[in-house]
Amino acid sequence: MTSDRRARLFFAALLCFGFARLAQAASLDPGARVLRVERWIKATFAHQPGSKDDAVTEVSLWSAAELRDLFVDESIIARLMRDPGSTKKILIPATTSARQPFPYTDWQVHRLRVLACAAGGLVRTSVCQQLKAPWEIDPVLGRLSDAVEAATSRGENGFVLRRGALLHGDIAMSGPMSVMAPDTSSGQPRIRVHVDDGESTGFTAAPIHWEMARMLFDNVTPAPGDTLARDWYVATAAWMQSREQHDTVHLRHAREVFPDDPEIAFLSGCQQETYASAAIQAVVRSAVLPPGYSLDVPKEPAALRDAEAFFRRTLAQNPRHLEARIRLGHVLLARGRPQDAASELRQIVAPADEPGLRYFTAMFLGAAEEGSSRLDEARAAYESAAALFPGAQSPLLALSALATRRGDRSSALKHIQRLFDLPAVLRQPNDPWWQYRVSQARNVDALFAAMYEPFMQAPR
Amino acid sequence: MRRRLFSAIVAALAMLTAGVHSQDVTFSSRVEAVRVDVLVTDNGQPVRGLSAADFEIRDNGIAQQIDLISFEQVPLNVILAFDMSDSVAGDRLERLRSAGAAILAGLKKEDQSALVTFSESVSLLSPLTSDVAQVMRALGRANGQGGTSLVDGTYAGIQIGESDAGRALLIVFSDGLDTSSWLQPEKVLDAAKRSDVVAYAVAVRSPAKPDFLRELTSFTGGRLFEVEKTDNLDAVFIGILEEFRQRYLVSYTPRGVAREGWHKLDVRVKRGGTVKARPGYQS
Repeated sequence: MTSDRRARLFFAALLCFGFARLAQAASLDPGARVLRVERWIKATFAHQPGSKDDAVTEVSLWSAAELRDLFVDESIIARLMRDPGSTKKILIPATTSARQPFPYTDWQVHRLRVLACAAGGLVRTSVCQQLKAPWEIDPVLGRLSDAVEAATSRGENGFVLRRGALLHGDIAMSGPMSVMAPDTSSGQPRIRVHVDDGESTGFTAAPIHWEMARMLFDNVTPAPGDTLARDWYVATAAWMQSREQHDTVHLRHAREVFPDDPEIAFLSGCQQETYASAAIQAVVRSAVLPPGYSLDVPKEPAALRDAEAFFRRTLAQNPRHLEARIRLGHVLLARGRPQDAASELRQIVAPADEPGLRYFTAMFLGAAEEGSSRLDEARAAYESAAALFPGAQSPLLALSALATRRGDRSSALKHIQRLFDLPAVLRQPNDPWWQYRVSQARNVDALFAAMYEPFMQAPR
Repeated sequence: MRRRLFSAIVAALAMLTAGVHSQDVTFSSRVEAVRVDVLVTDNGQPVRGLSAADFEIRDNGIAQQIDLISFEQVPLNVILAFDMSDSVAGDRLERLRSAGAAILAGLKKEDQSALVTFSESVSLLSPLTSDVAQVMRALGRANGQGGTSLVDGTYAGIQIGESDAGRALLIVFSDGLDTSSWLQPEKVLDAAKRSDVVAYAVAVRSPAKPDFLRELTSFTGGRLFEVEKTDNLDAVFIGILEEFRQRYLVSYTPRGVAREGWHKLDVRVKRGGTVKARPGYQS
């Protein structure tokens, strides 16, 4: 597989057993820990979503241990923002058992309450007045509190949490990270498996920032019409797929939160379709992982079955989702059901401004017709694909192989000769087939632009 | 498979066409016959000097009359199908070029060769020609970039072999998993069963099993070499050529068998020995 695109595949892997020891736990300096929470809150306020700014740089430099602490502290802050004066019971993190209460000092608890007042836009409330929050926050936090209050009055819930989630997502997408990622349910870390040419080339810790972003969105009760979290899951899942960094957990969580969303179902289908590919399955068979780990990737038949189910779910929710139907056809072919595939693919009339979709439809229909022994129809479909992309080699190979099957050696050679005669300049645009596994994410930039656009206009 | 073969004048045809190939694929008019490349060994050593009377061929269980047997006389068409994906770069690429050059240097003047490369894209860098220098030059400019269309590239190599009546040896080199082919392996294996091309393959050992190459070489009567490293690639390639030259080309006109479908071949040597030949052909 090409490393030119530098698109090595990554898999999130689930932990089944402890992996070494996590980085050392909380900082022993209580002041430093709470100060980091404050710096994080300010970073969320300063961050311009979608940009690699100073806030991204600052938080991305924090160590694994610091981020683990922050993960816990963020969840506490999220709960305190609903009620800064809440009892101490709320200060037991969800990831900590009751027998191991989290060791916040009284000063830390107080400071977290004050920070929650600012982050929740609650400084003027009586509870926060009693906490002396107005006198204990600096001007930046004061402006933040005002901004949160104003946003809340406009109907925007979770000002800091939403921006915090975007910040962590932007960090996760800004470059490779080397921190452990605790599974929020088990407190265990996850790892990523690096894959090249169907071979596992090593593993690293999965970035915790995705986990943090998901946790923060989980703590927001969206106002009616607020689609940010849903849009974020769609855009980030598409981003992962565009870079072939596959994370099963991310989409699984997205489906839990948005079970009826056709785009999330569609991207889930694409993920399973990719998992069924030879390159991934080779890794499933051969990857050597640390003791107790297993890849969170099903074997090919199960992946194809799941892909079919997700594409069907997409179509049930949005029958006009052409791409889901095209991919359903491809999956049905892979499952050895060419007649079912042809039945789906014949329904498709892809728009003229989507030549790639028309090409895939024609190629898959050709294969489906061929699989159904309708060889004339198969040839017509392949020829239409060749006409759409005259520089693409796949239709010519398909036509040649089809002729071979018919015993027509002359035609088989003629189509191969067509391939060899293609001028280099015509072949440069590439065969859309080579981009199939990432083509579902071709609109990823537009997805992010649309998601970030309200933040470009928002008052700071 | 049933072939349209200039049965008695294969060698002459190959010599006549040598050196006049252009980029175009040529077509030959042929009579129907089946030809089978057969390697006979005894304790690992090739057995020479066999005649038609020494062979027994059964086509779907029916004994056949052998029309012709050749040994060494028939010029070769050697088609090199080389993986030029990203992973074949640097030293590995140099070793592959060196091995390709070594096999080209071992060709006789009446032999022909061609070079097909594949990354994502499949390219014919040199068509079948007896001009070894031309293929050498093409090999020198072959470069690695992109994914791996192993199955597509192999299919193209088979078709190059099919484009000429000569005796075709396809040598496939790959160091990785197919990541971008359109054609399904089964389809290319079916094409291989319909052709007379004998495929040898050299695969760099990796966790990804070379199942496709194993089946390809098995169906065509060739051999798969799995190498740990490419340090000794020259010797492997030269060994393939030497082994192939030790093979008998046996042809017969099928009698008493149905024309269509899979024909199981059973090739034996009466005086004993180990026989390696394709297990059948698709017609």
